[in-house]
Amino acid sequence: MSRRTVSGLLMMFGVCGVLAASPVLADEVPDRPAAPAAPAAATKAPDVPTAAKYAAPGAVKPDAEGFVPDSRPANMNTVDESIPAAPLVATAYGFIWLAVLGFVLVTLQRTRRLEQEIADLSERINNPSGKPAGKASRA
Amino acid sequence: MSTSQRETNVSSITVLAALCLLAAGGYLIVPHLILGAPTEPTMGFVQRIFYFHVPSAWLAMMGALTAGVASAIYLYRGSERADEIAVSAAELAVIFGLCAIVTGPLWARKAWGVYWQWDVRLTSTALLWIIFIAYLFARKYGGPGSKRLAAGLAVFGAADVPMIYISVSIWRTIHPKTTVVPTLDPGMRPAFWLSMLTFMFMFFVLLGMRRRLERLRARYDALYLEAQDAGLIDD
Repeated sequence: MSRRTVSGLLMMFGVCGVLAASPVLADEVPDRPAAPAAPAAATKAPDVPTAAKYAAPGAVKPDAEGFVPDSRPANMNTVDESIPAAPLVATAYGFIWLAVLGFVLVTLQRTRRLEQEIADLSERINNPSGKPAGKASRA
Repeated sequence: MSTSQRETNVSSITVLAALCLLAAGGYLIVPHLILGAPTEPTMGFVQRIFYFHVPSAWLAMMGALTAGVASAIYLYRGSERADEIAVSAAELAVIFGLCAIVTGPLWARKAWGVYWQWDVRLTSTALLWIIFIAYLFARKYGGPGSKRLAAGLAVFGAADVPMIYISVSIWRTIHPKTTVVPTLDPGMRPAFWLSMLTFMFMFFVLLGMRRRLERLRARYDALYLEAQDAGLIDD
């Protein structure tokens, strides 16, 4: 892959990364409904998580065992609404393309090296010099 | 220029053209659709990681399944072609698995409040990734017989794929369930499915590139032995 092609790909990636991280696209937290009143304390065993402790506003009600499928376990903190989402999205997107680009470049490099070694070995076989040519590297 | 070199050049140009088309689609069309998709009301803008996190995870599982099936064929029939496909798919399973394991926690930090949770789906996906890293290590450093050893490992790793898929349905888990995609908002579907198609195209192009490398390696090994037999190379 030529240097120009690599530069073009990196430039396209950079443009998309800048667009994704643009302040225009900064995270806007939608208005949430008012938090419901805390439900009555559960009559289950004390180690069972309850909706009163973890439920976000408008969350699913607990089932018969007190389990709320979408609730956060005890070791999770409340989500910090001030974390900007755009850098997270841009980082995720950028990482994927870096990983893919890295794989492509490494594979092309290995392929080119192997093609050269095949060409050298074919030349040596087709035009033997009559003398042992010494050690050749194994790919 | 010999015929084989000309064929190699045409093949390289074809691969490069396919990659450029893919890059154009990926960079120009899909991000535009993703940014234009409706915003999910609960999670906001960070939910857009969904459009490349899910395809990455699916392709990691597809790579693992492909490697497992091809390895089983190699073990049963001794097919070198199946082994080429297996090692190529295993590398892609590692690459796309890494993408899923990185993008998921970035989304989780905002949505769940933590980067990682030892949830069934997350744990089994990490396990799959580790198994296929072990596959690649076994291939590279295992010595004689490493192909068969690694093939066995790939079959074992492929058995983890259905576990990952059904884990969210069987166990209590914080990870979203598999019903999310079939019930996706109509406004989100074009972005998601085009992203999925782009990723799948990328998977097959990369698989082809990587498999070509394996075929070249096999050709080199054959030429090396031929040169050795002809006394052209000291061992």
